[in-house]
Amino acid sequence: MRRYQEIYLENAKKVVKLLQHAELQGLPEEEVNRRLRERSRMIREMRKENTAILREKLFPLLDDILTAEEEEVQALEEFADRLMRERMDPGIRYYVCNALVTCARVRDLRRLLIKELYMTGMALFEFQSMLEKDETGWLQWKQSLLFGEAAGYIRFYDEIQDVETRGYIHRAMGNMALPLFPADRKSADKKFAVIRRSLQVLTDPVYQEKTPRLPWELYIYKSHQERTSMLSWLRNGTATSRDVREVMESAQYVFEVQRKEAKKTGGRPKLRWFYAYYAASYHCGICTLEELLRNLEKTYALADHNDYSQDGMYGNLFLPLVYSSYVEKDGEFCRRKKPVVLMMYRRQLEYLRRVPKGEDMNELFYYIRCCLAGYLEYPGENSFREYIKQVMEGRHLETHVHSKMVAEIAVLLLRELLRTDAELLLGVRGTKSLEELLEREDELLEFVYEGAKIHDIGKMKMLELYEAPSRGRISEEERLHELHSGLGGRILERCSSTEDFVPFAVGHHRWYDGQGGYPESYRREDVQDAVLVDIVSVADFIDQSCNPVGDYQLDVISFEEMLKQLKAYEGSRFSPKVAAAAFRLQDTIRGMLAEFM
Amino acid sequence: MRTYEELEQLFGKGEQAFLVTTFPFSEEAALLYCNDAASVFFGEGREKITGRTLGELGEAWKKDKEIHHSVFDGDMCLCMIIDVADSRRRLEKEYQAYRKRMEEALEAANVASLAKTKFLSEMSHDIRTPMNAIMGMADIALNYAEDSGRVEDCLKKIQTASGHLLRLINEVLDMSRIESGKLVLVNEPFRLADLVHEIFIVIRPQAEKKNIGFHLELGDILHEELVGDRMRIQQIYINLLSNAIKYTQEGGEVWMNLCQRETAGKSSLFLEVRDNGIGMSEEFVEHIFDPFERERNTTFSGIEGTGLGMSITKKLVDMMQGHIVVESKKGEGSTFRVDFPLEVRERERTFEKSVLEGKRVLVLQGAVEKLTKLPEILGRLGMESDTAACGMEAIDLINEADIEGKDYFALLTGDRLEDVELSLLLQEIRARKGRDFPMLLLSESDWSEVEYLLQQAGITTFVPLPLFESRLAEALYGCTKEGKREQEQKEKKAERHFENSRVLLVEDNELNLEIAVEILGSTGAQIDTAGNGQEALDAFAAKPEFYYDLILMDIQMPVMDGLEATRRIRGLNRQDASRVHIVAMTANAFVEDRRLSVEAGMNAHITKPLDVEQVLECLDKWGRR
Repeated sequence: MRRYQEIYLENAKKVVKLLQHAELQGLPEEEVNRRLRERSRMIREMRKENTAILREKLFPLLDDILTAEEEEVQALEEFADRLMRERMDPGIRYYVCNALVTCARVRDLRRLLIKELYMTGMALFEFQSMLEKDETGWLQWKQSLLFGEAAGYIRFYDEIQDVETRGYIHRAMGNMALPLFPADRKSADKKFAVIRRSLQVLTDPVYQEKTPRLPWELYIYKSHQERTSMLSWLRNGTATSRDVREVMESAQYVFEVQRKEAKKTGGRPKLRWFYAYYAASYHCGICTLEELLRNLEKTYALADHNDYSQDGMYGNLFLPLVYSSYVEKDGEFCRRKKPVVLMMYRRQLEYLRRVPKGEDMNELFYYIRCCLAGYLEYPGENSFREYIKQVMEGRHLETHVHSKMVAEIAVLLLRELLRTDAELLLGVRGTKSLEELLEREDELLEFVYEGAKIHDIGKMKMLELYEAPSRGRISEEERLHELHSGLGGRILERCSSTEDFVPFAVGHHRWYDGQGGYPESYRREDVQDAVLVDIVSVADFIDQSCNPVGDYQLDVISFEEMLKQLKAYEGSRFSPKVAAAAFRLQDTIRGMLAEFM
Repeated sequence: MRTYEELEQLFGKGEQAFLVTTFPFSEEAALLYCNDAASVFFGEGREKITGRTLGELGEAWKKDKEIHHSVFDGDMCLCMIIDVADSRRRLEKEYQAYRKRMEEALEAANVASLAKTKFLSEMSHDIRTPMNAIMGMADIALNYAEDSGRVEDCLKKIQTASGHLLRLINEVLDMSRIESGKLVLVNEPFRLADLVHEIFIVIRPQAEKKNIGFHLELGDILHEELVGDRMRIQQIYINLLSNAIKYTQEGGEVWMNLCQRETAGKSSLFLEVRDNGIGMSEEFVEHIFDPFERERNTTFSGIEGTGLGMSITKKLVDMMQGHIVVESKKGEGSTFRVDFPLEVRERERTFEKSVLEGKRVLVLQGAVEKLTKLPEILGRLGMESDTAACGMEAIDLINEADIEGKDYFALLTGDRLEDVELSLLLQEIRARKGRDFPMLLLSESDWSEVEYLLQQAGITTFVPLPLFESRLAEALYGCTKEGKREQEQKEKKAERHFENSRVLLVEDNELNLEIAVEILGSTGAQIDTAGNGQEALDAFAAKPEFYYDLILMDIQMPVMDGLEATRRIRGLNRQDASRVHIVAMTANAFVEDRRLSVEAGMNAHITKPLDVEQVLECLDKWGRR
């Protein structure tokens, strides 16, 4: 590895460490803000250095990869391996591995090509895991191409003597199932077929004899693991008996392996395999829903609430979700199991706030995504809105601080508009007259405050993007970032306590005149509370422009510069009346932001 | 004296009234016989009046009668009675009928004359308008000769106006040639694919300009190689399609369906052109094929045309022994159906079918419905295919093929995918399969529209839609080893250097001469020029035998025309007289004139204004030493 690559990695790690939130818990707000400011300064410095490294050293090398010296190519390969090993920076890893693929193709370096095809596919898979199945687009098809190409080298198996390379061929063949989502019969069949073929090759004694040094058991185990993930397909109720049988077979296989391992070490199998085994048994008709729920409760009871390992996270964060998803299937269970579900959620939230960011950060982010996507709300009992606010505060302090400031500025702006231009607001929240509007002022202020507090909730589904800002954002990440508003809308639309706030999440980056911003699907004219979204949009712009605590990818500008831009975008990006209100209140807003500026 | 029966036999059956009396014809003369036709004048039956004298019969029967009598059989009188009133009535009736016919004829003549007058007045306006534009623009260009931008603008406008003018003149000339029976159909081999694609190229921009959806559907095409007058067929099709577009509002739809049916060694080509445009009234549909007719429509003014298009179309279809029918409803659109028989020609295979047989291709159909027949066509070529309905399916098939070790020979792709960005996917496939992997893009778009995609995504070649088997086969053959080798050889052959060639260029028009010298000059050929046929003859005779490789000869020239000069050259008593290649340069494309040039001894002809490629082809064929 080259020195600049080492520095890059060190900086990246430092940033991750700086973002450990545990050290800020329990401190007074003022102190938290002071430390956040300091953290922001340091992170921004490292981001600058790492961005310069990429711009001056790495990207020029990638541009000229076809003429690069052999040593440079080798150093790059090591750099990519290191990033992969430490599960860091899939964005840069993608760029490096993709360049190595090109280089290997042109130079006809088969070993390097097969390995980097696999590595590029894995980098994309990490991106994909942040998204929902219908948002993956090019990530999905490109992964299929990459893994498929690497797997295709099985034709030349005998020519390839290198054990590691043969290993990549088998892994790629197995990973061809990764980008496939069982959304319908056709795609489910495809995924089953890919796994079936992979298992067929892996269990073929001919291959095992040819390469005895490969970890065959592990590969087979991983393929069964992937097939067990098809439980989600079984849950939708359209699976065939073959689907159920194969998933059951895999769940049993994995569970048996786990049990044997546990016997050796004197421990117990991992919690996820208890779940997989029980769920598969239920779907196979071996046990009833009631028995499944009872088994899941037993499994949950095994989880240690202070265990922050992958298994601990699974038990404390994920099990409550699968449990509630089965409870939700039946009205009777929904009623009967309410106390269990509420207890699990309470504990889950506590755990979520407590769990430190360690080596298993990606798993944690995955479970947070699941928590937001599968919450079961009992109206009047547990509020999803409160839950997500706490998740945000607990897991991403920067977004929490930013959202809080946006909420305060929004309230200020709304109050000003109610005073000076109440007619503008007529109709929001169904108001029919100016009198009603003024009578309901407190309710409106609270509504806009709450909306602003959760407008960026979509970011919580892609924490990988916001939790490792050790360099400037690359275009692929920018595309993902722009999805945060739509993702936020999806989170909020699920529950009654949040559904009214969907426009705040979806519309806060769309321009007032509909000519810019994102997502294009947000049409201001179709939204009853569009003026309130306009207010949050202006408040969001003000805070993100001047407040160094928030999105570390954005450059901070002076308050005066921000005002200039606000003026320039008046009537296009921003509502002219809301912008005008912000100008009138500029001194007050400046004072609010002073603490951070 | 004749008996009553004899008289009855002679006069009884006629319609003319006759009497027979004793001689002489007077008041005393006795009535011997009266036929039925005459008895009606007396008001009594024949038996009652026979034997009475004419005096006894009174005067009443003579009223309004003309009576002609003469001696009959020496002792009798034959009297013919003509009812004057009845004749007058009849004459009057006949006169009235005649008069009516005359009036109708007069009216028809007036209408025709009016239509012609109107047509002439419109035509003169129509001709004058582009003519004025040409002259005006030429003036401006001359005044601003230094301003290249302005000159270019003027030239473009002149080009447009002259194109329009040419179309007008062509139609008028066509009509006049058809009417005078001078138009002769040419029977020459042509490829249906070329015909359809050329039509497509003309029609698509017209449709796009008006934002009209143009849908071309191919039915069963049994034979692509046909014999007929390609230019006239094209004219018929383009007339119908242009009209459909012309009379369809913006945003409307025009459908063209083409198919073939086979009968007794001939292939009938069926075309249906349907639109959802303004349609026509029933009255107008009856006259649609009459010359000089254009329906007036207040809501759809500003439509250009001579009013001859449909009439020419009908006459051409008749000449081809075909049929044309039209259905239309005002406000709902029109449908034209035309068919005519064409001779089928055996397909000239430019390559061995076995070259493609057994090869496996991946068809990425995507959102292009027109590719549904592709596997069938590939099957006819002996090829195997897998079809992917979307990008992801294509990726799966490529992956499967790699794993199974069954490589694809080529990828055939449509130009639209819904699940994957096509250009990105093609780039990836290109990178994966290497630069020699053939990727063929099948698209309805014009080459220029997809050129960017081709370049970006590394497409090997472009196959236009609608899809013809021959086009596809040639494109695929071009991707094979054999095809590439053949192409290389062609390219080698096509290197155009003619330093050793000698050309005699015969042209009286100085500007044309200049153009021809310019074109030929670039090839390195040695060029001599002659201003007329006589000079050419003298120049040829003055040179040693086999000095000239090629003579490019204008036809119409002063002193001696090109035909005569050719005849004289061929008649010279020298070895090269019959062997030197003489090519006519003429703007005259009439079949009969071409025949004359061949009869005069010319080898071929090229059209004016001279086209660089045509001239170079001539040199390539005959001018290479």
